[in-house]
Amino acid sequence: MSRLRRFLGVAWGLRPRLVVAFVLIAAISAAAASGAIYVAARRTIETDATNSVVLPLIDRVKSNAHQKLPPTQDTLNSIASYASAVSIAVYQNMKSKDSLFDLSTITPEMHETMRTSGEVVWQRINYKGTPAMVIGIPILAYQTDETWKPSGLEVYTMTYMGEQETAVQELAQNAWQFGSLAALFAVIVALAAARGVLRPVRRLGLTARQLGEGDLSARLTVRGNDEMAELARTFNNTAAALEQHVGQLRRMEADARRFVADVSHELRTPLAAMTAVTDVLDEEAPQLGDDAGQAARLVSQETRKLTRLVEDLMEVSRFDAGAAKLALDDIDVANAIGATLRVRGWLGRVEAELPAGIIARLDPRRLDVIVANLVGNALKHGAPPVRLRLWADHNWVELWVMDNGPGLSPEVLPHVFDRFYKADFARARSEGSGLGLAIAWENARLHSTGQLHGSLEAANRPEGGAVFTLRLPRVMDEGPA
Amino acid sequence: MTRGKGLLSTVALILAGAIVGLLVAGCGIRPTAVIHGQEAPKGAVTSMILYLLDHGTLHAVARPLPAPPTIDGPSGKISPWVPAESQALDALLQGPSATEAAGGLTSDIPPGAFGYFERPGGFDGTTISLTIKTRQGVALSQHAVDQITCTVITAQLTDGSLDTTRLRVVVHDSGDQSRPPQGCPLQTP
Repeated sequence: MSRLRRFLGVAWGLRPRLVVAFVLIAAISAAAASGAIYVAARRTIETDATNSVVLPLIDRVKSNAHQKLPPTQDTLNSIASYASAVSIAVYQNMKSKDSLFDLSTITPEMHETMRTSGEVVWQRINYKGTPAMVIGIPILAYQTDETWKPSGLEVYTMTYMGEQETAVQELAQNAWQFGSLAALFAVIVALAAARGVLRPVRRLGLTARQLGEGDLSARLTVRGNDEMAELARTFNNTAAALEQHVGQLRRMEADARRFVADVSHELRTPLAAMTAVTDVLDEEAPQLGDDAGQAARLVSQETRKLTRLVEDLMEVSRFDAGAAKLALDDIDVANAIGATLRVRGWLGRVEAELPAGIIARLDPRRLDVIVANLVGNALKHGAPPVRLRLWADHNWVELWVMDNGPGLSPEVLPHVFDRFYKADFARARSEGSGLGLAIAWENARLHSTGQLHGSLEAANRPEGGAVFTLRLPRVMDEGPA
Repeated sequence: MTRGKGLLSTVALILAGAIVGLLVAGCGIRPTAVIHGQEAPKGAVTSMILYLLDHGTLHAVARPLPAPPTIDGPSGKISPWVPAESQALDALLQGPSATEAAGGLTSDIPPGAFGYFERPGGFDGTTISLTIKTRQGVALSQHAVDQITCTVITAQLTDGSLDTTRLRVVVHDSGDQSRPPQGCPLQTP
C-alpha cells in the first residue's frame, strides 16, 4: 500500500494526474448521462412497442370478446385469426387451429397470472435468440357474485422486437461513441490545462536553477494575478533581497580586500627604507654593546618578517583581485624542484624521489613557491625523514610531500589551508606569516585549464605523518590568464 | 499520504460505477417478468344467470347456458337466434329447479305465468318493456318485479351489452297498476 503510494507519488507527475482526473470526470459524467438517457430511451422504446402492439390487439380481442362458452372450434379460430396472424385462442383443452404461435413460449408464471389476475399481461422473452414479447389476454366472464373473472378463454400473441433491439443497440453504440469523444476531449483539455499550469512551474524551476548557479539577477515574468503570479512575485522579491544582500556582502568583502591591498602597498615603501636601515644596523651590531646589538638584531629580524608578511599579503591580494597571472614555461619538473631544494639548502634534509624527464608546462615561479612552502612546512612541523615523490601521467603531474611527524589532527585538517590558521596556538609567534599554505593552495588552483583543475590536498598517512598532495595539469593552455 | 488513498478510492469508485452502470444498462431488450397491463376484455358468457329469492332477498344463481333451440328446416336442423333475455325470462318464470329449491331458494312469481317483450317504438337503448301474464291475473309482488328486472338486465350481458347500469325495465302485469321503469336493486355490471 505505502509502496504503491510512494510509486504513485514518484511516478505520477502533475500532467498524468491531471489527465487521469479529467478523463475520470469526463467518463463519470458521460457514463452517468449516457446511462440515464440510455435507460430512459430504452424504456420509451419498450413502452412504445408495447403500446403500439398491445393496445390495438386488446381492441381487436375486445370486439370478439362476447362469446358463449364453451366456444366452438370455429369460434376459437375466428377469434385467433381476427387478433393477428401469430395469435392463438385457447379454451381449456381446445385451441385455435393453424396458428404460428408456439405455446411453449408461455412461461408457467404467465399461465398462472392469466388464470388469476383478470388483466392483460405481457412478458418479454428471448425467443430463439430474438427478443420477443408474448401478450396474453384473458377474456372475463360475469359471475353470479357480480364480478368479472377469467372465463378460461384466452388469447395469446407473440411479436418480435428485432427493430426495437436494433434501435436500442444503436442507442448504446451512440452512447459509447459520444462517451469516447468526451474522453478524448477531456484528454485534450487536461493536457491544455496541465500545460497552462506546468509552464509557469517549469519557468520557475529554470529560474530557480539559474539563481542557484549564481545568476542572482534571474527573475520571473509575472503574468496575471493568480496563485502562480503570486508565487512568481514572491520568488522575485526573494531573489531581489538575496541579490541585494549578496551584493552588499561582496562590496564589503571587496572593500576589506582592497583595504588589505592598500595597507600592504602603503607599508611597502616605509619597509623598504626600514630594510635599508636594518642592513646598516646589522653591519654595526657587533660594534654596539650587548644590549644595543641584540636590540638592533631583533629590529632587523622583525623587519624582515614584516617585509615577508607584506609581500605575502600582497600576493594574496593579487589572488583575491583575480590579478594573479601564470607565466608558463616548459620545464623539467624534477630539475625545478631540485633547484628549489638546493637554493634553500634542504638537499640533505629531504629524501627526494624525483624521476627525471617529466616535462610539464607550468609556472616555474609558482611551482617554486608551492614546493618551498610544502617542504618548509614539513621540515618545520613534521619529523624527519621528509620525503618527496614525483609522479606524472599524460594529464597530471603529482607531487607528494610526506613527513613522519604526528600528522594533522582532525580539527586542523579542514582548515589547514585557511589564512592565518595556526595549528598550535601556543606557538603563536611562528616563523612564517601564516599565509604560506594559503598561497600555495591558491597557486595550485591557478594552474587550471578546461576541466582540469590544479589542487592541493592535505591528509594523514595510514602509517603516520602528514602528506600533502599537489596535483597540477601537465599541459596548460595559454589561456586568457 | 491522502493523495494515494484518494486516487485509489476514486479508481474504486469508477470501477464500481462502471459495473453498476453495465448492470443497470445491460444491452438491448432484456427479458422481463410478467407485466400486468390494463383490464382484460369482458364479455364471455359461461352461464345463464337468474335471480331467485333467498328468504326474501335477491340471490343470483347460475345455470348452464341452454343449448340453442333447433327446429327442422327444409335442409336439416337450423338454430334460430333466440334473444338471451327471452331465454332467461322463460327460465325464470318456470321457477327454481329441484336443486335450487332444495337449497331454500324460492321465486315470488306465481307458477304458470308467461311473459313477452314489447318494443312498440323499437328499443331506445335504455328502457325495456315487458308484460307478464299470470294465470289468475294476480298482480306481481315487488320481489317478483325485482327478480324479473335483474334477470332481464343481466341477460343483456349475454347479448353483448356491457353497460347495463343505465338499463331500466318496465314490467306490465295483469293489474291495471302501471309501474315506473326501474333498475335492478342489486349492483349489476
